[in-house]
Amino acid sequence: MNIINIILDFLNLENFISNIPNADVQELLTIVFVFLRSDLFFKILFFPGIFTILIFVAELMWLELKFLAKVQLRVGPQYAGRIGGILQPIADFIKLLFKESIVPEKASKVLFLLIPIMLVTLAATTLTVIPLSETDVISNLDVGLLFTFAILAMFPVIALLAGWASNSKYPFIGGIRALFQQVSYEVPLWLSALGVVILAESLNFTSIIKAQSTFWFILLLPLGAFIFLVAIIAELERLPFDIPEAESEIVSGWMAEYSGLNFGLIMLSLYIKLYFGAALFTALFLGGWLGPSILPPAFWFLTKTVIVVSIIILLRGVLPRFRLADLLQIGWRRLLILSMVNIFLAITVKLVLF
Amino acid sequence: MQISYLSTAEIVFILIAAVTLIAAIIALEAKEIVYGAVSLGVMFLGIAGLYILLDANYLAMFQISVYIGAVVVLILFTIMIVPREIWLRRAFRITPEVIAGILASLMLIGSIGFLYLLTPAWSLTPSEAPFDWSVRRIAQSIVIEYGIALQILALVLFAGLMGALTLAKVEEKEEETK
Repeated sequence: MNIINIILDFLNLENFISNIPNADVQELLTIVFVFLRSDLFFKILFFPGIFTILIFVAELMWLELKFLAKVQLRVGPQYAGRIGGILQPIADFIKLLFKESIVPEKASKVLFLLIPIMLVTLAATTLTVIPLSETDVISNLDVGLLFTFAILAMFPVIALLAGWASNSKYPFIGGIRALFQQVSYEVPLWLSALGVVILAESLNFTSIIKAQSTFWFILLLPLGAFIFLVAIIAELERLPFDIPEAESEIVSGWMAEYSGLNFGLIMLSLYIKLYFGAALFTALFLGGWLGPSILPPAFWFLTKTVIVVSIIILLRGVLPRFRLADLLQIGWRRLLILSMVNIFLAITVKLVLF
Repeated sequence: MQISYLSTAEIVFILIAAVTLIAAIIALEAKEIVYGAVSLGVMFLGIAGLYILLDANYLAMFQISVYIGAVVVLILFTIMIVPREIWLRRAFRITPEVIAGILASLMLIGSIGFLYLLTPAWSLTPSEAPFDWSVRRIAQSIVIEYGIALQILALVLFAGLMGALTLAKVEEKEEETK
């Protein structure tokens, strides 16, 4: 019995449908209502799905504002909401909602306006396979890990297209940089996750997390966890690897021309991606929902995710930005070799322990 | 009035196929080459969707990550690096080549359709025991049943890589001598 069922019972629309004379329309509407009442729809709309994630992501934005301020000895947001400006992201979003969305004159308009939508859709798609607990997962896909990587592979293309569609120099440079960075860091990302796959013998998130019930994989593969964290930070374009959107060099990179609600959507997609990256790290290395059973499993999952996000924010507050050449050097000459070593270590651990 | 008798899978198939075909045509005919590259990506996505409809999830994921994550990225890179004037197209004209192309494609479609009508094995009824498409089964068949083919494939790819490296090295040397 979920909240949608209660609302539908209250509205009592089925009664109304049964009075419709046309049998075919009646059948079609009945199918729609069966879908609305199904568990899947509740999952997509509420609990592991859109609603929870939106609230959680908004609070991640607040966490970033506040925690970064504390790191840099500032106060941060304090007026919106009673506790430490906790409603600041929502206020920001409402502000962006009422601002004018400017499309540059010589931009390729269709592509320019499509890109924020594509970004949000893709970012939300990745969340369907991340399990908050054994039952709270929208799609328990047997190739879930591959699916997330396949979606991650599409982001740099969209970043480049955003830069191209803006028809402006800074966004274009930002787009090219995003493409370089994300394409080269995908390789260590895949290879470091391969160690986990070797230990868990599965590409499905639920079985990967269940395989960690004795040891979290961060204890067995600390090297792999380190490589994965570095690579995911590079994929998320966050400091110290925020070269594609370096404010002091190229304004704000590939999203410099976006304003108003379009900019809001891009920021939303970036924060969903931040949550997704942290959740991926949690699921692969920190044992996902596993924890003492006093509290529900989803609580443990989200707590671990918040800790990972905090580490990423702390790095943003502490470290300076790398140069693109250094970044590519690290990616291809250090991380690639280290991830090969990591695969070797994973096979060794597999042969010795299991 | 009757609601159509198509099953959900068939409706989804028709939609995906239509998107794939339209994207393929745009990919060939777009005036702006970047739009061509984008619709090529959409076409690859459509093919991945067809694989998912056929229960081949693993293949679909690799289709997306290899073709969009690598091939489209490479094409976009090339477009961005090469000066724009090269990509400008001439106006579309009906030349003998175009007519020959249309005739050849019609013949191909006709012969495939003829084959489809001839063979009863192409009927759309699902087989009794569905094939096990799990990743474990695929891994076993790749490593155990087709192990030698896999090794040879790896050798071929390695040779290709070495060849590319050698070519790149030779060009560098020529530049140095100049």
